[in-house]
Amino acid sequence: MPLAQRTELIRALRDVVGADGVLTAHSELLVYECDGFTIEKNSPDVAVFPRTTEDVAAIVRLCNQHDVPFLPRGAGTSLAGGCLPVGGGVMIVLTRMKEIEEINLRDRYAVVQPGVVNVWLTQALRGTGFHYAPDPSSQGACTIGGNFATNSGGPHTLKYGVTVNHVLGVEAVMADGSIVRIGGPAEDTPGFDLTGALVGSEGTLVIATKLWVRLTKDPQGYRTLLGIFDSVDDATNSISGIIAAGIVPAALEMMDHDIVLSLEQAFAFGFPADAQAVLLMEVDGLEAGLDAQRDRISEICIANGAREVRQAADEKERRQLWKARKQAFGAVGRLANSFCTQDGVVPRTKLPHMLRKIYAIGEKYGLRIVNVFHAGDGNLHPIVLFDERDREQVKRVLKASGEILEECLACGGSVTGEHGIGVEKLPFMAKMFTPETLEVMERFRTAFNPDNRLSPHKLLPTAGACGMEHMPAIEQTAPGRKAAL
Amino acid sequence: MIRLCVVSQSATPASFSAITEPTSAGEIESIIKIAAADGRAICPVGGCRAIGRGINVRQGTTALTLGRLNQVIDYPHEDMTITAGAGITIAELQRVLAEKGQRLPVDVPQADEATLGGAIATNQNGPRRYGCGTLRDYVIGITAVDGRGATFSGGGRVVKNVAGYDFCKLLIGSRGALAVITQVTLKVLPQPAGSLLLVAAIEDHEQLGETLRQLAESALTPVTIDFVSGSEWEDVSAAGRSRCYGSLFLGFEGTADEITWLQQQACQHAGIKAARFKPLAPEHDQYEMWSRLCEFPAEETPALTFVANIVPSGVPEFLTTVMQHDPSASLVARAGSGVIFVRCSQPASDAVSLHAKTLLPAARKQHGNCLVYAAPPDLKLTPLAAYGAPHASTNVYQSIKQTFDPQGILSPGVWNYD
Repeated sequence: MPLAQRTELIRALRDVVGADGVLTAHSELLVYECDGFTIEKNSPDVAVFPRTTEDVAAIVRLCNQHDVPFLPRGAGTSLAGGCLPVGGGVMIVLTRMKEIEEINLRDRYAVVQPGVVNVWLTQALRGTGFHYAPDPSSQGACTIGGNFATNSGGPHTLKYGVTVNHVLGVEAVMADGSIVRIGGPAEDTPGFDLTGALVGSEGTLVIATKLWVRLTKDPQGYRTLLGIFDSVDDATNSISGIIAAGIVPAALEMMDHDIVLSLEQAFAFGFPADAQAVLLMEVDGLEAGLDAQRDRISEICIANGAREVRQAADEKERRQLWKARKQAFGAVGRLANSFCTQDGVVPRTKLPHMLRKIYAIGEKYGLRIVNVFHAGDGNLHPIVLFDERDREQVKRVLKASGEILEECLACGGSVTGEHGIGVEKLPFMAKMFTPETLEVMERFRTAFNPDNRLSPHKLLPTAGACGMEHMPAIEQTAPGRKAAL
Repeated sequence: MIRLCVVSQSATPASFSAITEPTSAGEIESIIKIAAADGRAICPVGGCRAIGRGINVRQGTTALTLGRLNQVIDYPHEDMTITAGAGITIAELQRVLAEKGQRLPVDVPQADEATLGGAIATNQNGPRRYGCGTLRDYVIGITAVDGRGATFSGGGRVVKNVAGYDFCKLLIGSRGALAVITQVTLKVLPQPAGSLLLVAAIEDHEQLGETLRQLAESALTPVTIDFVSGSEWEDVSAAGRSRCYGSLFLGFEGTADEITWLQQQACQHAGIKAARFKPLAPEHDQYEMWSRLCEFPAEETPALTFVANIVPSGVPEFLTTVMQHDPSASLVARAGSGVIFVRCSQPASDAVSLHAKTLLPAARKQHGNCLVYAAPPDLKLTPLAAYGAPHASTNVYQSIKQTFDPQGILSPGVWNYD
């Protein structure tokens, strides 16, 4: 951005949000140069921190006046580069919009601002008999606005659905700075389901400034089981067996040997260090039906070769098991300097094949790959370990990741179950969708975002074609990305 | 070259000038391209069970029937997903699923004729929506043809997938105004081992409100919370009185142990003290009653019926407003979800006036809306009369309509976005 233009824009942004709401120094902007996808980085020119919907609208209008790109950001925990400021510009950080505006238990909804951290809502509901069901592993940090943008999942979405199943309405700022409201506390809105279509649009259509989210009644009881296996095949066959038996657990998660070992080294949860795989399985609902489901799951695991199936004895043990699962990514830091997490999905019966394939790909490229994932959904999270200072190794990581995702597609699956396309998976869009579909998606985006200043270069491989020629390409690890745009 | 041809003038529903029956998605593309070039209006139809919903398509529109796209394309039952042509009937789909002990847990009226594509386009659901959700919770993949004749898809065949924009959601409730749905992939669930329908007589709106409040706070897990009232429901009045305020049905599904526990709790006042629930009278079969709750809004010759979508806590007040103005109206309220169907007893012109002056403001007071759900074919309704004044975000809907159907040939007139 030319200096004079930048100076003028910063002055105008300070008029909107105050001097303490605008960051401009390079050192201050470093934290905003990437999200959890650290392979590509680029700094925004400015980071701005609105407090109200009107602030966001005014910021968007200023960006349009100055013809600079802009994009929203929550906590930056996304994992596919969704809030990477590809062309620089203005990053609209929504973390100061953090009020829970209303909790209505009788009508089972809450109204939250986009910067509310996911777990805050469930904490605010503690003791009421209700909770907010989407529970990504990063729920202690990620925001509900970010969950809306990426249609986040989590372990318990197997039974309760992903974010879109829990969003009733949205107030949003459009790319032209106007403010709209779609949906609200009532369940049905006349016409097509626009709220549903906005969820997961990765910040390319609107900037959400308020959300009406559904609250879920707490189950009467839980049975939380830990299945311990001497082989990954036995564990994945058990998963297929549970689903095929018509059981819908609340959660069904798998961790492989390396993850279990790193968790043990980091936190000493008491997992057997020699287990090749463990399954964390939970059923919930009425007490009257839980023991029968628990017994059936245990039988299936034992029949598929489980060494042991343990049950959490009480709520404390249950919380401990879930704490272990949700800290698995943190524990990976003990294994390598850097890691790259994939998010492919396969039909659940293909899990045994897919896990074998992932380990084979790791061997082929000389990389260590560990696995902790939402097994019941078929949603894999192979974590490729590497050292980002080794450029040659980074290239192998990208090749291995690509090969894993190719295999997911060959199995009839998807390249992303909950992380989104971002910039990371742009090359795969043309493999998942026909040119006609991509063109319709492009037209759909244009209906909201005609000048493509809002989150350019995201989600669609054709993004950025309109008026973005002046933007520098990000080529740190994806040479030719601009050509692909 | 495929032509738009009249294959059966006599079978053509009232509003249509012609009907065409493509046998493949490719033919649909061709038909729409021709129609777009000619500026000829097209309306996709399935079983023609929802043609009387809302306001009708513009006169002279050609019906494009999906009935021949009725194949099951892929049913990997161990993955609990199924892919089928949009023209498969809901009854046939459920029959195929039942062979493997599975189901789509969304009730669709007139399932023998209603098609999967039609159910999605009109966002059909029924009494189980409180516990089982609606079609947006089960459609995981969709293929459709837009108003330019371009085939596109959304989602895929796996249960979790966030790649690209979610066109599955966008087409739900679109009434064929954005695209012609040709193929659908659904997430399905195991059939429950057992079910139970209980009923309680309700004396007044205060008792209804208190019962619903206690239900919301109780440990009970109903899939159905339906309140019924009016002349069409007098025979089910659990108290046997002809003019009680109404009856509240509670439906449960689950294992045998769960059903036993739920019945015990609900009938022994353990959770709900405000009303006395008991099993249906011997002359009423629970499956028939469940079906009747589902079928109420749909009729062969539709009477003027409104649907309100409001917050659940507002249901008793809204019902009281309706009863004050039309004491003989027949009502079904999906009370747990805030969805209320109102079949007025008044002449249509009076009912239209009641909608504008009373029902719509009453629904808006409860954070919702109220629309014409079904109307007799000869009743000419303007969008204003059917849907009320355009809401503030109508321009967004118009923009999307323009994107998918730039020539305005798909189901013209069914929404106020044209």
